[in-house]
Amino acid sequence: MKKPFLSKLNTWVNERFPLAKFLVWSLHEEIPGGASFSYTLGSAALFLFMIQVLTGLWQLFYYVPTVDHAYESLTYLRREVPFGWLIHGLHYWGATAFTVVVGLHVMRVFIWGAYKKPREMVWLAGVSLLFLTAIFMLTGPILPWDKSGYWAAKVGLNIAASTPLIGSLIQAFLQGSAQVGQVTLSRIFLIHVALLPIIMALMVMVHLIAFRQFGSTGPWNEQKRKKTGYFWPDQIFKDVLVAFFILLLLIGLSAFSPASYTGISDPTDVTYAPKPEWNFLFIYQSLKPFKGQWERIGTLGIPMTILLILLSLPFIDRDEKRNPLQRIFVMSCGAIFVGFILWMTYTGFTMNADGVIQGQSSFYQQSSSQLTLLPLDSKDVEQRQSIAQGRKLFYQDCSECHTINGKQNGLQGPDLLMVLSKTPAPTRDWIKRQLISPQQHFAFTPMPSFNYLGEKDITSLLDFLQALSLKEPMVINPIPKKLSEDGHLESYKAGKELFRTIGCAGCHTVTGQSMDTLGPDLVQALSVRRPDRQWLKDQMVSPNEHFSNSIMPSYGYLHKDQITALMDYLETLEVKSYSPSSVQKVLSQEKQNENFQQYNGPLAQEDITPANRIVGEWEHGQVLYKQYCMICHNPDRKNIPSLTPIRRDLYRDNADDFVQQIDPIIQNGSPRTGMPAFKDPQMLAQAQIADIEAYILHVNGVDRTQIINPGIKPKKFFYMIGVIFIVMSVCIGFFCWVFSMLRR
Amino acid sequence: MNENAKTPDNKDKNIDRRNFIKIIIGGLSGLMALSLGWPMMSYVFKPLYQKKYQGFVKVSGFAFIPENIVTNMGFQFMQEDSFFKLDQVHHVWVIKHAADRATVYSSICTHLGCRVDWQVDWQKFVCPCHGSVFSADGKVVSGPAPRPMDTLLHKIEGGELYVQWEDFKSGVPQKIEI
Repeated sequence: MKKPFLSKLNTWVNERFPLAKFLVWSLHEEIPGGASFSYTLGSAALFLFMIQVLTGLWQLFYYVPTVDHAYESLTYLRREVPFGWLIHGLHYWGATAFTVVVGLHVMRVFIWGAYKKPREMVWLAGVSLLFLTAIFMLTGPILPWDKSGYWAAKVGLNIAASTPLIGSLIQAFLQGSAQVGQVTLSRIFLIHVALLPIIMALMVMVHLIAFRQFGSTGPWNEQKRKKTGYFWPDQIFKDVLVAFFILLLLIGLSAFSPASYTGISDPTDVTYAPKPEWNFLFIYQSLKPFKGQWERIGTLGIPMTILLILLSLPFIDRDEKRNPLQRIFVMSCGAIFVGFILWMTYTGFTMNADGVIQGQSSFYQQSSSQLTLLPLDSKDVEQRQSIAQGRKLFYQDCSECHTINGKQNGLQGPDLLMVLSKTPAPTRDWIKRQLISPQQHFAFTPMPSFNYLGEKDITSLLDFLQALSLKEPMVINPIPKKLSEDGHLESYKAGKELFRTIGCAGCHTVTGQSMDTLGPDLVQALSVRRPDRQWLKDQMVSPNEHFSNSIMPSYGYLHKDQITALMDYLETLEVKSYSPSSVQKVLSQEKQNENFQQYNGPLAQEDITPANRIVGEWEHGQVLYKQYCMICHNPDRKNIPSLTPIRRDLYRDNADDFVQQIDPIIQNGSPRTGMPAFKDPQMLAQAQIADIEAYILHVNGVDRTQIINPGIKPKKFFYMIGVIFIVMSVCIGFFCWVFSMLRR
Repeated sequence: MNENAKTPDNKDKNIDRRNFIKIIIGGLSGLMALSLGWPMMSYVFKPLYQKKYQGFVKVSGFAFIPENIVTNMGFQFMQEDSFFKLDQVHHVWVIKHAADRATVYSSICTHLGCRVDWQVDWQKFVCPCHGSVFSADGKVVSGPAPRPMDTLLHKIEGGELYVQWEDFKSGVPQKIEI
C-alpha cells in the first residue's frame, strides 16, 4: 500500500533534519502540578512579541523614517490603507499589553521563586529581555515624529547625555548630528526595527532553551506537585486560549480606543507640554525629588539600580524555600517595590497642568504670613538693567511653561501675572525658594530647579517679576530724550526701530502709496486724518475705540516711552499731497473696517499646502484657536462669522473635503475682510494650522482622524471576530458531543 | 499520564479529551491566523488597485510649435502618490496637424517602459533600452515592442492643448490602463 503524501514528506524531512526530535524536545514536557493558567504569562509574552514583530514589519510597507514624511506616512497608513488602523492599533496596544504581561510574568516568577537554583540563567535572560523591552518602549514612540515623538527624542537624549563619563558618547551615537533631527530619527529607527529585534529574538531563544532544560518549577506545595500534566496539549491549550483573548482584546482596543494623533512636531511651539508614555511615568515622577546635578539619580540611577537588583536577585536570595509564606522578607521587599512603581505611575497620571496634584492644599498657604513684594523704583538705572536681564532670562528659561499676559494658558505652568496678582501676593523669598527648590512648595510639581542660576540672575528674575506685578513693562534700551539736529526728538529713531520690530510693519506701510496690506498706509492715513498725538496714542492702546471692528491688536503693553517714540517717528513721516482717489481709498478702507462684509468663499488659489495633508491634534488646536482666532471669531463680533457652527456651504461630512474648504481661507486670509494670511511664517506654522483645522472640524462634529479606507470598519471587524469565535466554539462543542455519543 | 487513566474506559475518555483539546487548539489557531492573515494580506495587496482620476493638464506653448513636426513637450503635473504629492514633469510627443488638431503620444515605450526618443535624421522613434523602433504615425517598425505607441486623450480649447496623462500596461499587445 502506498504511504500517504504527508507521512512520506515527514520521513523525507526527518531523514535530513531533526524536526521530530526538536518537536518532542520543545513540546513533550511534564509539568509538575499540571497545566495552569498562571503559567500562560510567559507564552502570552512570546505571543505578543510575535504580534509586535509581525505588525511592526507590516507597518514598514508604508512607514518612512524621515522627519518630513514619517507622520504623513503613518496617518496615510492608519486612514487610507485597508486595515492600516488594525495593524497600527495592534502594534500600539500590543506594546502596552506586552509591558503589562511582562510585568505580571516577572511578578509571577518572583512569587513562585522560580529564579532560584538551577534556573538562574532563565532569570538572567529574562531580566535582559525586560531591559530590551524598556529600550523598545523608549524608541518606538519617537518614530511617528509627531509632537510626543519629537519631545520623547529630545528629553530621552538629554537623559542619556547625563550619564556620567560616557554621556556625551551615547548622545553622539544616538543623535548623530548637531541637533535632534533626521539623523537621530534614522538611528532610532535602525535601533527599533533592526538591532533590538535581533538581540531580543536571540535572548528569547536563550530564555526558552534555558527554561526547557529544567522545565516548569511547579507549585511549592509538595502535595500538589505529585499530580503532573503535559505541556502538549494541556498547557498549550490554555496558552492558545489566553493568546486568543489577548488578540481579541487588542482588536477591541484598536477599534474602540485608537491611539491619538498628536499632530506633526513643531520645535518652536511652546504651547505643547510633553509628558512621557505611561510606562515611564514612574521614573518621571520619582526623579522629581532630585534637583540639579542629582537629577540623574532619578533618570539613570533608579532604572540602573532596578536592573542591578533584578540581575543579582538569584545570587542574593539563595534560600531554597519557595513558599511565599516562608519568604516574608523577600516578598515584602517585592511588594514595596511594586507598590512604589504603581503609586508613582498613579501620581504621574493624576497630575494636572499646573503640576499640582488634584486636591492639594491651596497655592499660597505657606507664604500668607510673609511680606509682599516691595514697590520697585524703576528710575534706578542699575535696577533697570537688572530687569532687562531678568526679562531675557525669563524668555530663555521660563517662557516654555509660563506666560505673563494675565490670561489662562494651556501650558504646564500657570500665568505668572495671575499668580503675582493673587492676594496675598508671593514674596520675593517665596519666589526665590520656588525657583531653587519648587518641590519644597509643591511636592509633585514638574517644574525643574533653577539652582544653577547665580545669585545675580535670580535677583534679576525677581526684579523682572516684581516689575511685572506693577504692570509696568520694563524698557530694554532707555530712549534718550534730546533733540536731534533736524529738530525732531532723538527718540524717533527708536520709534522707527520699534515700528519695524514690534509688528507695525506687518500690516502698515509708510510709502505713501496704496498697498494691499491689512492696515492702511500710514503716510496716506495721516495726511487724510491728520490726527493729534492723543488720537495716535489711543489708537495704539485701544484700537477698537476708534474702529469697533478693527483687528489691530492693542499695543498697550508698550512702555510709555516706547509709545512716545513711535509717535515721534510717525510725526517725522512726510505728509505729502494726495490725489482725491488715494484719500478715498483710505477712507473706504476705514469704512470697510466699520461695516464688516460677509465673507464670500475662499480665494481662488489652488495651492496644495502641507497643512491640509497633516492630521492635526484638535486639543492643541483649541489652545491655538483661543490665541489666534478668538480675537475675531467670537460671539461679540456680530459681523464676523462664527465657526461654531461653521457656515453650511463650507461644511462637509468628509474630513479631508472639509479641510480643503477651510484651509485656503486660513492660509491666505482675505484682504476684503481684513483676515490675515496665517500661512505667513510670522503668524503660524503649517503644523499649527493643521491643529487649528482639526479643532474647527471637531467643534463641527467631524473627526479629523476619520478612517477613509478601513477595509472593514473597526467595530464591525471586532464584532465579526467575536461572533465567529462563538459560532466556532458552539460547533466544536456540538460535533465533539455527537462524536462521543456515536462512539458509545 | 494521569493516575486515573489506568482503566481502559478512563483511558478512552482521556484520549477523547485530548483530541477535543487538540481540535480547539487547531480551531483557535486557525481563527487567529484568519483574523490576522486576512487583514494583513488586504493591507498589502488592496491599495494597488486604487487609482485616482487625473484630469486634463494644460501643455503650454501649443500655439507656437510648428505644424507636422514631431515635438517634445513637457508639462508639470501634480502626481498624487500615496502620502506624497509631487510636482512631476511628464513628456509627450506632439504632432500638430492644424491649429485645432494634434496627435499626442506618450513617451513611454510599450515594450518595458523606457522613454522613446525621436531621431530627427532617421524620422523614427527609437527606444534606447531594447531598440524598438516606431514610425512617426506610432506603428512598430522593428524591435520587441508588442503594440504601437500609446496615444493620450487630449483636447484643444482656445488654442491651448490639454492632455490627460495615463500609464498603460507594458509588454502586452493590448492598450490597458493601469
